[in-house]
Amino acid sequence: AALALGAYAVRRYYASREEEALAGDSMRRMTASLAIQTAPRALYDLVANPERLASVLESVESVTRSDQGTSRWTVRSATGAAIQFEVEIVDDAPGSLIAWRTTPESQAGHHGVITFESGDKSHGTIVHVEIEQDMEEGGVLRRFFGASAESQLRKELKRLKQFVETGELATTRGQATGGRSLIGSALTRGET
Amino acid sequence: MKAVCWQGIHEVGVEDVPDPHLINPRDAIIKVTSSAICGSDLHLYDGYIPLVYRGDILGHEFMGEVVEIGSAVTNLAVGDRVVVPFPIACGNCFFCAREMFSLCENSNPNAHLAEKLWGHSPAGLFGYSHLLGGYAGGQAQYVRVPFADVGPVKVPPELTDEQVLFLSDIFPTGYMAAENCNIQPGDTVAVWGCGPVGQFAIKSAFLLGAERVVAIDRFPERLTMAEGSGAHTLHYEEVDILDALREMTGGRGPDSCIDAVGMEAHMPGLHGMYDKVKTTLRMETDRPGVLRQAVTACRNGGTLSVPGVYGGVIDKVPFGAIVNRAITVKTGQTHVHHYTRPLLERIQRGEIDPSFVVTHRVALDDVPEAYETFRDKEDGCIKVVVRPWA
Repeated sequence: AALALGAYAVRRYYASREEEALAGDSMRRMTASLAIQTAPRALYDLVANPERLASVLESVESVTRSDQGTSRWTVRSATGAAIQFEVEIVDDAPGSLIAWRTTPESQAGHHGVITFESGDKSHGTIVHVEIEQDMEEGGVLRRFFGASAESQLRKELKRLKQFVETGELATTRGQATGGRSLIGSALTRGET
Repeated sequence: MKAVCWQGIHEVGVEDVPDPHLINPRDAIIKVTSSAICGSDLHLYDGYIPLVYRGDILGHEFMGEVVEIGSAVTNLAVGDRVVVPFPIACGNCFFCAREMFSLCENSNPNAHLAEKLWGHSPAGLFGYSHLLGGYAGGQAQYVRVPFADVGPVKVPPELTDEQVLFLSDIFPTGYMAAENCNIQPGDTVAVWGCGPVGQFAIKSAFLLGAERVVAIDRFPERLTMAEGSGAHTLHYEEVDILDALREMTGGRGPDSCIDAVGMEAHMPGLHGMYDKVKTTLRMETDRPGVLRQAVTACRNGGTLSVPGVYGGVIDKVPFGAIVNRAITVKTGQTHVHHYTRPLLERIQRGEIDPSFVVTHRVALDDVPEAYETFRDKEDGCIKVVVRPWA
């Protein structure tokens, strides 16, 4: 019985690998949502302003606006690689929605939409982000949108919440500590 | 400055570290006049809490003098004497608005780590692992206090440090444990563990109207202190606790049971050995001996209140008893900010003097030795106060 079960598990494993490979030809989707204590419009105004948004997000190195109404973003991937892409806004409903996509020359090609939905008074605004990334481009993409991409997205949304609700970003970066071990100092980067 | 740092399991040391500085606009820097070692610090000392790194500054019970304030702190001034709650709370979020401060959504920069272990993240705490923020703690000469416009409470000069220091944790923690019992006139409350939190739970249960409190421990000095607060005491190595509690309550069981022991319970016999083996083999993270016994003891429809700290997963807790006998379970890290002012008023009115738990006073350099004394309950040790400038 154990052998049969083992054989079944192996077959399931390869079947799921195949499914994954097929799905990999298309887009990979990730989502995150978070309740933030403010009005939808206030959040929209922050997100719609690339410079203000970039000052809150952890992975963004820089952003510049072009004359054509697009914005050029440089972000750091989890592995530390710099990734550049250009974003154009494809849908814009002030106070409720922004949709964007990257231009064809961009690294890390993707498109996404962020919505701001008014919850009841005590729950503020429900922010929902959905990003679909093109998996066909290979290497660079996988570095940026690796397994950690979805958790990075949730982290960034939390930073947005912290900034909007408290006016600052919770951190221990720069705080004093005693002597670290090698592993400890690698895991607590930024503490001195 | 000098600070007490975690250096490994059963190893803490006093190190010279840079003075803390303001990082965010709502920060303050406090010069620590008194600090304390908490029973929950022993869980770090013994290596029961994950993500503690060499060099982490320990301590979450502290008070002192404000020496520097950030640009956004308007309710404090340099020179103010304050006591600081151990959870860090922003005062703005969904949970802070409900006064559930230990669940603040914005104070744990490592929320993603806590979410992996617990599903959602609670608030950041001072000196209590990177899971809960990795904030430097207050067993030090100075400490950085984030959201200083929300946490620190000014204390009047006529009260000594030892009378107000425990507003940072153990007095509110014992009080919330008793409040969670929803005590009614005539009630019997049983308290497992007569450490500092247990002692405050006993006092608080009486303040909240309990008819009778039964205190359970094995250390004579702790039982004597509990007796001093008016509790009946039971020595768990000398009597069968379940029999004794049934006997005392006409077979019904205590109306509420408080587990003020937590994840490193010592239990006699086979029962205790079982958890010792399982935790050693990492098949269980915590030793829930007291929790099991408290569930079993509790009367039908009663309340189990758990101020004791648990960290991970536990085994063979009789959940069937909880369901079929309609037991209410209440727990949580203490919402300290909710209790500081009313409890300060109780101290001012003379209803309680929290300094009764203090048995040891040490300078910073003697803290490593004090951890050992406190862990081993040697020398009658119940509560250690640290004087960082002595």
